[in-house]
Amino acid sequence: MGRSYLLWMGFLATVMAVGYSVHMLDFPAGLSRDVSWGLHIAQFTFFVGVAASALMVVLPYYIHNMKEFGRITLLGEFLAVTAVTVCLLFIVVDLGMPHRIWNVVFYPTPNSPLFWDVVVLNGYILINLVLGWKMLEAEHQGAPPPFWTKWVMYASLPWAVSIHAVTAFIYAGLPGRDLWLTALLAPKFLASAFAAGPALLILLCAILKRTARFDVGAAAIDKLSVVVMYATITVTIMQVSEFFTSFYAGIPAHMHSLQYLFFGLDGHHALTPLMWIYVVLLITALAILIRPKLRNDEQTRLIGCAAVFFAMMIEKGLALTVAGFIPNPFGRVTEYVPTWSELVVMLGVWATGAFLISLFYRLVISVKEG
Amino acid sequence: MSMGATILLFAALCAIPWIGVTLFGMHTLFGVVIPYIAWALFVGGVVCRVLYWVKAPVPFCIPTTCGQQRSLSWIKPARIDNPFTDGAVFIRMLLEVLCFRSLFRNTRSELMGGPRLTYYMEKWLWLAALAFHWSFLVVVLRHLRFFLEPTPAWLVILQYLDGFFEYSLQAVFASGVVILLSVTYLFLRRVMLPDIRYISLPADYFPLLVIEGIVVTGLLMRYFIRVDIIAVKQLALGLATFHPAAPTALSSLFYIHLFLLCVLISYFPFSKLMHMGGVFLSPTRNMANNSRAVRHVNPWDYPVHVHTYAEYEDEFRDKMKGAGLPVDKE
Repeated sequence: MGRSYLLWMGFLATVMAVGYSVHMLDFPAGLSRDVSWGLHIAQFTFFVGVAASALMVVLPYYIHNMKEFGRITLLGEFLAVTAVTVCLLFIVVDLGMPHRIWNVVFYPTPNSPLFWDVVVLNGYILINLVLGWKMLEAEHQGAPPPFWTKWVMYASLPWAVSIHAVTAFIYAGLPGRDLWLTALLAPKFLASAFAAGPALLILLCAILKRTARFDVGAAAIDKLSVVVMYATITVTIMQVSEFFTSFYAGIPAHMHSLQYLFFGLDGHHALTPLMWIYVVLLITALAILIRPKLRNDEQTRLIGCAAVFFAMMIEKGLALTVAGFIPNPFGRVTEYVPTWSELVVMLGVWATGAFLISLFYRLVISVKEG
Repeated sequence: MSMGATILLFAALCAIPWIGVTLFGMHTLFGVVIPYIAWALFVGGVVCRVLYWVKAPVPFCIPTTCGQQRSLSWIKPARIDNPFTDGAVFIRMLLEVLCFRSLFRNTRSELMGGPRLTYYMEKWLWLAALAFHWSFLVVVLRHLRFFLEPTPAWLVILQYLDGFFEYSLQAVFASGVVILLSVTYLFLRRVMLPDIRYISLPADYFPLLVIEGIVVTGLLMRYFIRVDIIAVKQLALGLATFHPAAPTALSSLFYIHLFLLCVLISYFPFSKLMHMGGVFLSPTRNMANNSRAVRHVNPWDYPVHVHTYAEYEDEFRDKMKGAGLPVDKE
């Protein structure tokens, strides 16, 4: 730890400060009348998934009593807290008038999924913070956690599903946005979350092993990479199903967005290169993860997990949100490309997440090793 | 004095200005005379207390430390928690005053089955205390705008940041909400938790109650029962420039707010609120733990005349040489 840790935190603080300044200076974003949700809302959606994926370590450890997850579960819970914080920050930077944010609470609109997303996300952060803290404290004391933490843990299980389902319902409840208007959206969100979240956790564990000499154990990582594999397969099946339904049935509205994403529409193809990178990453990930030899090899597993993470980030962290607006209701294409200021603000939010996770993991490691 | 009596006293303190202003129209008494007396008591009292403490001798080097002292080169010292230099003492004091680090270490002990004693981190008191003190500071700084004309730029910025969030189209000061919540928590903690209540005296919760009263009346005036803000500024500027004139336009709510503040600041020098100055003067925190390297002279030491070996040798050198004893100086 020591000096390199401080340097790392100082670096993150600098990036945060730059991101904050750029955000406050209010440079123009690439958003328009037609594409009103861009990079930040897409990133929000993606990180809700990362948060929900804590389920994949909490469930085996607490419900199925898989002791291998003993060292990784707390890491998963604090990753969830961090991911939700990142989500909420992405929402705040996207708001035009953040100083009226309390109106969401004081003038609730229970008929809107947006309101419920606020409720479940803030509830989830609270649940994981309390649960993670109490578990850490119990470990520190060598005493069993208070009895009520069991009920908080039970609540966290459906709650994890709910945060991503409600986020999907924000999209899937909009007639006229045909890319999103599918009952498959919530399940696909969950599947890609359970792929990207554990993949990120595996990557973080590898970093911890190298920088902090903290090993969560090969058994936990092996089990978790199986989860990543099945979730990635599920996502792929769902992606193919979407293509089948849209193109075999030949529903124009359903086809246009997919055409725009993967092949370009009316000469517009800003996102096409990214989508093919997505396809390549997905195939690479499957090729590595499905073969036990490659999946259980430390090096190739990390490549596979990185491929899964970035594939999902391209698809859910940018393309899905943007392409829902393309073409617009008049059938015209208005493209969206993130501006530099949006990217810098995104980096600032990521740095905030990295800062928090470094803080949390340092705490967890000091308790686990101390 | 019991809890009930304290609450009665507080009620009386609220009633005095209300009766005085509404029934007898004593605006000058409550708007000018009492504030001046309170201010004189505050400044005079604090100065006396600080001088008294400054003059107190420090017989021993007694810093309380939480880490390894600097000793051998290969033992890692805790530079801030066990300060060796004045610079480290300064940093430690700064962190203590700004972040309440010693309160952060607060633990709660619990006897588990076994029997086994465990210590839990108890952060709520630290959190509430920190929130309370910082929000109080912001509130006090914001009130400076009543005394300064023109309002300085830093104050405008502070007010903008503090009032960033809007509710029903007006700025809501975060510091006001935070101080209300934190002081309420601190008061309820004193009176509701049986074990804390058992060790609490009116000196512990009376100031909290008075601050609560000041906060509530202030918030009422800010958001609900508005007062003539121009008249308030006239009164404040008059007091600050020693040309006081009590405006009659102000409601009794304002005078309750002001009177409770007067009570608080005149009570201040005689109470544990003096920890504001005391923290800087406590020898357990403002001394470097360098007693292995620097000799701390006890001011109480009787001036003993010491006969050193050098002096002894000077006196008996010839006789020592004569007896064949070795000497340091030839």
